[in-house]
Amino acid sequence: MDYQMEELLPIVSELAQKYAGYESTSITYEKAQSLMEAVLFCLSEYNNSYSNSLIQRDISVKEQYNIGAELLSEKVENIRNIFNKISIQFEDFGVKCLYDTVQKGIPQFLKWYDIKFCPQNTILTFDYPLFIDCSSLTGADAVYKYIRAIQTEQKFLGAFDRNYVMSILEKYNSEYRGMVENICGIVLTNIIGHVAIKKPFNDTGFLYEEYLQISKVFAGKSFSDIENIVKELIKKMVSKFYENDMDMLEYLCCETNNIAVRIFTANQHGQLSKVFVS
Amino acid sequence: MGEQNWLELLNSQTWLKQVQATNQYTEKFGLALSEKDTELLLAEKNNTLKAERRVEFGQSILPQIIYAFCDSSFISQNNYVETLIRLQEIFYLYKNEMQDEITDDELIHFMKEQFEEVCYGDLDYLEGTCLDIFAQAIRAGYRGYQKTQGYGEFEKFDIVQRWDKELYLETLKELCWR
Repeated sequence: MDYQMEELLPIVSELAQKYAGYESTSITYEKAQSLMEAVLFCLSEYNNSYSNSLIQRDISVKEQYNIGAELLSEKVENIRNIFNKISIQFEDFGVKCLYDTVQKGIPQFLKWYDIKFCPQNTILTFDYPLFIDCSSLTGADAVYKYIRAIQTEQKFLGAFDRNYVMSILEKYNSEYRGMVENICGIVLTNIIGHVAIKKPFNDTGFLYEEYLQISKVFAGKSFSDIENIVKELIKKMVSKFYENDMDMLEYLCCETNNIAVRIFTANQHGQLSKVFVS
Repeated sequence: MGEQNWLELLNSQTWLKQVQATNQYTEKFGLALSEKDTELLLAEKNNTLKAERRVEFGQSILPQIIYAFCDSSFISQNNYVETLIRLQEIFYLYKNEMQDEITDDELIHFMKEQFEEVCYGDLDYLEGTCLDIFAQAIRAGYRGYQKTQGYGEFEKFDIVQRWDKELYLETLKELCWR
């Protein structure tokens, strides 16, 4: 994305006049900077949405900006649709941080997001952590990525019985309702234990012999070997229970590194019961 | 010539033309700006905008100030340029002080009215008292000027008693008995 200043200034100038309602001939540096960022944000939306071969090179920067703004508007509409969809069966398992971030935060984003004058403002702080990092993105791009991840988590967790998930969380931390931690990661780790020894999910709680069995699966393996085993187990689970949902596989695999570290360390110290809780 | 310089030059030329065009209207009030004057005003405008950290786009505010103030009883050819420079400074200062809540027209209407009727041409009083009090009211949430377009606003906030009947009678008595 390489634009000349004289291509951008007329767009910023027009936007500034609209911002001032054609009633002010000047604006502050801070506002001018923010409007320039708004224009660049829409242009990057245009550039990111078309593959290089499809970019219409012969159209003016103003048209590119308009298309970018239109695409952004569609993205916000997608966020609204995803939110409406997940809200029907949204389950926070009593975790306040998850509820506040999604059920309170997203509607506020949809209410206050300013596509025209400040699309780069994310508005939300994403307090509930995910497997993926949205911090490199801003505005609707960040929120879109975030809510899609939440949608995947909800689909993953929704396949299990509510009480089962809550029992895992309860055993992990009796005050889990107030913790600021990703619950999907806690449940996924536990599921890995079940899949590793082919133990049914409804058969809760691991016996001593079962911990020995799990320990054998990971014993003598290097950290990267464990990571590969975890990845394979996730693949097996997604293919069996989630119709090989590739988005979910990709998302869950973002956590393999953390899970592998926990298993590797716990196995070395005979503390697998701290990792596989239920 | 760099691209930025080219842009600046283009904007400056447009600005100089806009300001010089005001001479046609102000001539009847005995006011005119020479080429040197407009160049000085341009330089001062750029300095003020930098100092107040503001950007002007498209049309400039100076022609509007000129059209509003040219019929003032307190402006003559002798103080025309200096007054315009100060009015420009005061205008941008108070756009910031009023947090951009007020439109250009409303601010100019308010400034002109006080300049004529309260300050009697005293720019320091306009800046330090009238606008200061009005800006405080706006920052506190006052929006009544939107209905009045900035006219007849200062008397609502004026802290000075402009007409003192007793003082008037006392002075009159003194003059008559002298």
